[in-house]
Amino acid sequence: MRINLLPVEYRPQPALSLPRVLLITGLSVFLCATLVFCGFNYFQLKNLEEQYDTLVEQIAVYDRAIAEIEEIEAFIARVRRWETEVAEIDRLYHPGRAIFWSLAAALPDEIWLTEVAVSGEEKLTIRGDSLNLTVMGRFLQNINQNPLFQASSLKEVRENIYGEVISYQFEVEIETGRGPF
Amino acid sequence: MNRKNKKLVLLILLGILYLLAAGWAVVTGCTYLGRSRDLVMEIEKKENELRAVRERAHTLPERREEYLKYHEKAENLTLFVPTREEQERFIVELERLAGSAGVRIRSCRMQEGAGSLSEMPAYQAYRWDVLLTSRYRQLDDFLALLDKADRLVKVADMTVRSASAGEGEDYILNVDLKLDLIVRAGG
Repeated sequence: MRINLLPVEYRPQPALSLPRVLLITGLSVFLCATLVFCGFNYFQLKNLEEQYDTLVEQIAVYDRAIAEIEEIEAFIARVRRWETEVAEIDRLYHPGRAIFWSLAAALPDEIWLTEVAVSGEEKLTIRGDSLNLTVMGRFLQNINQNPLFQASSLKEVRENIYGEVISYQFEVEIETGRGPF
Repeated sequence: MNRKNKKLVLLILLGILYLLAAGWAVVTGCTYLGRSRDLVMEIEKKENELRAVRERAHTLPERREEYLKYHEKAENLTLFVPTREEQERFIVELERLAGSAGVRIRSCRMQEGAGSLSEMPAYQAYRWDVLLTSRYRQLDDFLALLDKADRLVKVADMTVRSASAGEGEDYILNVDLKLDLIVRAGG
């Protein structure tokens, strides 16, 4: 029988022990797992980058078509703006014909006009003759009821006598509510 | 240093190396993962963009047809509102309209210089003083034709006086018209 007199820490250890094997295996597995994690994500990233580049290339294929569409749209927008501006210009001026029609509609039979002046300053001056004042009142009332005219004011009424016939020369100023400048 | 200590130092060095390798792998892996996640979102955006671009590109034939329509409109507008007054063309047009409406032009004169339109700096108006003789119906026709003229002409001022007393249609009118011939200031 041999008696080992060496202290425990100096005694020769066995080359393989279960705790050591487990520790080394665990550490190796962990290292492998981290490397796999890193590698997997690297390849995943590369794959996604490739996918991204493909998409960018696919989008680039349509670049010319999109540029053409944008050019067309810009042109259409310009023409539409132009049309709008022309319509705006139209609104800057008084509706001459509509004024005439409205005047004609508002005119009683016993009144005849001698002068109509439509000015750009939202003003309409009319001169005419009437056989009586009542008809003139009706005329003014008709004018005030017309949506095209804002207000009317009787500027002057003068009596004219031609033999046995008495007529009234009048001047009326009407606000039309529109003007060119 | 005895053999035991050497082993210990080697073990410590191996441990440090292991930690560095494992740490590098984890950190790099996480960085790749983060970038992948960002990229997934970018790809989603690009896919949507591709879908939208593809749909938009498919409208090109319709857009081209629309372009032709608007090109024609633009050409008409260029003639309707040109960049210069083009007196010669306007005179001919005015004469044609007067002839069509049966109105007699007694005088016609363009005022010096162009006025600008309020709130529309891109446009200018050349004012024309036109004296006409017509009947009421003819004047109405003339004004209607002016609205449909080949040029953008607006009636700025209009004074109508009776020239001679008559019956109904025979009532002759002296008309003093101030017409604004609109042109574009720019190209």
